[in-house]
Amino acid sequence: MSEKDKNIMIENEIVTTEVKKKKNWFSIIGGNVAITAIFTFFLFPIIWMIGMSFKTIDDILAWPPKFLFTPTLDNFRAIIFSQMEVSGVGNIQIDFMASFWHTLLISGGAVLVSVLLGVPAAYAISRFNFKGRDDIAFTFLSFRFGPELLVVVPIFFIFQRIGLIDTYPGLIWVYQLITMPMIIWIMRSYVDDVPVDFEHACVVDGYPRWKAVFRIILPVIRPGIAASALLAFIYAWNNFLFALVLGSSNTSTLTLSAMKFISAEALRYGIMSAGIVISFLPILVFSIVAQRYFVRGLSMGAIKR
Amino acid sequence: MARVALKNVTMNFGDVEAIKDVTLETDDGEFLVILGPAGAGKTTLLKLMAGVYKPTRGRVFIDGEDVTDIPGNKRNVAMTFEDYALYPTFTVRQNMENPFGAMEKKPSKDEIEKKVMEVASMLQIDHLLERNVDQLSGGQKQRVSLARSMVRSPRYFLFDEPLSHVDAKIRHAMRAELHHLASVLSTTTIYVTHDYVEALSLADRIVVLQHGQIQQIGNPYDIYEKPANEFVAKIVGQPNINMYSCSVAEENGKIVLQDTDDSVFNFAANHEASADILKGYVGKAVRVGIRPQDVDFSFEETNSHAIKGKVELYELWGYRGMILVTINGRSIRVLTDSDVHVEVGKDVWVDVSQAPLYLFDPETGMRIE
Amino acid sequence: MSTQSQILTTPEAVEEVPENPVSWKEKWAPYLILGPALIVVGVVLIPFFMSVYYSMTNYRFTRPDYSFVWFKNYAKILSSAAFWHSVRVTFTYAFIAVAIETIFGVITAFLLNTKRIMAKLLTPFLLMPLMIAPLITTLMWRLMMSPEFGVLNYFLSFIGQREFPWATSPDTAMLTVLFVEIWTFTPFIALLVLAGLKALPREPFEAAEVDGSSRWFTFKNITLPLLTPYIAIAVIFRLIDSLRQFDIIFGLSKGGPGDTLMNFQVFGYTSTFTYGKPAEGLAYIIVNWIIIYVISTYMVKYLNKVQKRVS
Repeated sequence: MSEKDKNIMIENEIVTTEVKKKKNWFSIIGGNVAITAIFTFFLFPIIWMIGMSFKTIDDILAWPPKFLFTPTLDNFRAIIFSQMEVSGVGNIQIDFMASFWHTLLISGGAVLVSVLLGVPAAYAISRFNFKGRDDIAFTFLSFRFGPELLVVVPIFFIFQRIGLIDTYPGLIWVYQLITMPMIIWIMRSYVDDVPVDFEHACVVDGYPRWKAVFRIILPVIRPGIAASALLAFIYAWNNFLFALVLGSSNTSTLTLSAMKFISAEALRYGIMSAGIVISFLPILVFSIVAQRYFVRGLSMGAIKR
Repeated sequence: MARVALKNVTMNFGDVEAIKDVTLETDDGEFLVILGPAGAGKTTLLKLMAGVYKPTRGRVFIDGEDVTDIPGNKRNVAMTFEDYALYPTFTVRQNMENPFGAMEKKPSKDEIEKKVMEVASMLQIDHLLERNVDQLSGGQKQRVSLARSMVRSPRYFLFDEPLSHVDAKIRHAMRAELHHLASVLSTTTIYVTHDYVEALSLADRIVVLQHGQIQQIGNPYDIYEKPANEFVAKIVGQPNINMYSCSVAEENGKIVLQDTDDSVFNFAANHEASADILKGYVGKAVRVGIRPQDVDFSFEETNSHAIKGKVELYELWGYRGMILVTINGRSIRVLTDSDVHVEVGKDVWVDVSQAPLYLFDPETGMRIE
Repeated sequence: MSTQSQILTTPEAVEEVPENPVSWKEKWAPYLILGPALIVVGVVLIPFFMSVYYSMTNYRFTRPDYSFVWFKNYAKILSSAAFWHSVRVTFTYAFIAVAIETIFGVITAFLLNTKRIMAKLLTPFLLMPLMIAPLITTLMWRLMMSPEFGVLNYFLSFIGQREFPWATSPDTAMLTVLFVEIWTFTPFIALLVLAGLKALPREPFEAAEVDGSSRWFTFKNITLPLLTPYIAIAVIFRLIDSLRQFDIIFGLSKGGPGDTLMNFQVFGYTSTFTYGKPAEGLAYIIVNWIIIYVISTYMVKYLNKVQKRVS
């Protein structure tokens, strides 16, 4: 078999070109078509939604739906600069941009706490062989898998009693259930990848162990910290249940506000679309940028790309 | 200059016993080689000396002072690691300057620069100083690793398999360089390797380590000629020493060794010194070692002691070769010169009657003398 | 120097040497470092135990002074039709969703593991459905599912289904919610399996090629076994997550119409906050949690095993 054919075979793996014949055009075109079809399925709603946010309310309600239209910024203007009322069950004020800040600050705060506490924890789990290590690690992992409702309902009562309902500290604390396990498990996998010899070498050079860790290990795992922080941030940003039960008007996150929209009357659909787009656009941008690291994060460190 | 001593040191990692009751002491300025197979505990031993690990039991001394409780960063030793452990986010220069940052009384910038340049040019890496570590070749990394340990004046050097990942061709030259460096610096050096050639050529003394226990400590001659047990005999020498289980018998005043299984490989022990020892073991079983270079062979039947066998395998390694001869199901390795013509499958006669024998007790594995 | 031989030691000799004391700092270091993280998260666990406590009472929002009723709530639940219905909904939802996501995801991964142009261009966008908040995704789909102006209904009108009721009808609600779940989470499986495909070693494939194996043989005996750990990890995550799905179902119809889509978290929430019977709601959640905990523990243990194979 010629070198060229062998290369094609190795590059195109299983489902594609024939090995001993020339390139199979049918397979290539068919494959590309299939891929395009799949991505149309996945991306169409997002694109449509973005489109909707630039439509006037008439265009939105038009039938048949308009694929070509004149865009307008009115929806975004309305939602960013003025408060919105939702009629129906009384007049509920929804300050959407306030929600944006709430979500940003709560998610950011939660991730910050998790990184500050979780990275050292991940280091300890990775480097030290101590009694109870696997149990503790498993406990952290189990938070990712537990049903939130079980914990959130009694927290609701406790928080009511101690006045933490609808507060930033309260939510940031509860959000640790989401962000901490991710940071710990992902960072553990990153620390595992760094040979201990680096720390040993630095100790021999004259630094105490803890200084060696800061000097050598920290810079090496920095990309990991950034990636896991970003992923944890996204999960925190996307959370609904905690915010629903434990938050209210002072901490209304984007998800919570969006849910309140949905009972809005038809005239508000344009603004709603703009709200939805504002909710997900930052996240989509982040994820394109950092997606290289996400496989490791999504699998909680189990799979390293 | 330092004498490093370990007294009854045991090191456990959880349930794993990596080092078991090791006692050794270096001489001032000595080049000590720790020789052993992978997993023997050599790196652990080095790290115990460096202070990176604290022994579970036993004490560590430097120049008579008990340093067991002194952490590694205060012991003033230098160590190179098998995988070099060059800090990936630092340049070569920053790697080399790292030790200075930890000093209480930091030398001035000029002094640091001077030292760095001095060491860099000595190791011929001065043109690499600003490079990032991941751009270096294996050999270059090795030099940087050495350089980092040499910018200070440590009390002793610890080298963990510095040459095992270096190209075979360069290895010989590097070995000579290392040797030269060590003698120039006259600092006590402890060098770990699994390669017995390195050990024999570099060491003042060798410590043979297996399963965390010292098998033997001695100078190269003693290790080679007077191995303490079978393991040491096997570890030094290529091709491996031939080992047989035999029982000792006396025939006509001469010692004969009979193969314990099926009496297939019997031979006379005519080597005087060996025969003397064996006289005390008549009727008993021993383990007998014969070095491949001590086996005489010929393609014709020469004398009555020659045993007939067949050439099973022939390997030529440049200036030497090895024949694997099978005799009635047993095999024996024979070292040859390169100018011998060998055909696989041909008959060959081997004569081991004159070979010096390495004798070991079958139960303890220790050498009999 | 003369030869010094070491007599190999015995375990008894080893133990004669006293153990070196381990400093307090060394011994407790890992726990101290972990401590803050554990405390922060652990304190959140206390409510879990409170759950168990409350579930054995008859606490109601309208009747704040409560009394212990032990297992009466549990008995009530286990004999109620609503409970078993929600168990059915939960498991139906989870298993169908994960099954379809897996097939779809694996196919997608294979298609993307090539050098085709579309694959290279579009793979970075695979993440997107996954990254949007599931609740937001659901609202997005709701807007597209309106019979008056929804673009999906427009497409359906071509096959005479413009009035497709989506989540408003009990017959189509499950379908609808599965559709959203599959759209959102198939990329998760596809991404993990794709990472796995890219990480597979070349040698077995080259060997098979040299041996002249057919494509199907290679696929069945080499690709699939090597890929299984990755698929397993993805499936475990998805299964555990879809068993406790809340956002999508709640966002779509709050569990309705009626109780068609009441899976256990939605039902638990509704019992507690809508009907104001937290004690029963909690008991309900605990029962479900026990079921899911047993399943999850097995899965996570398996996950640990599989993870070792993959690293």
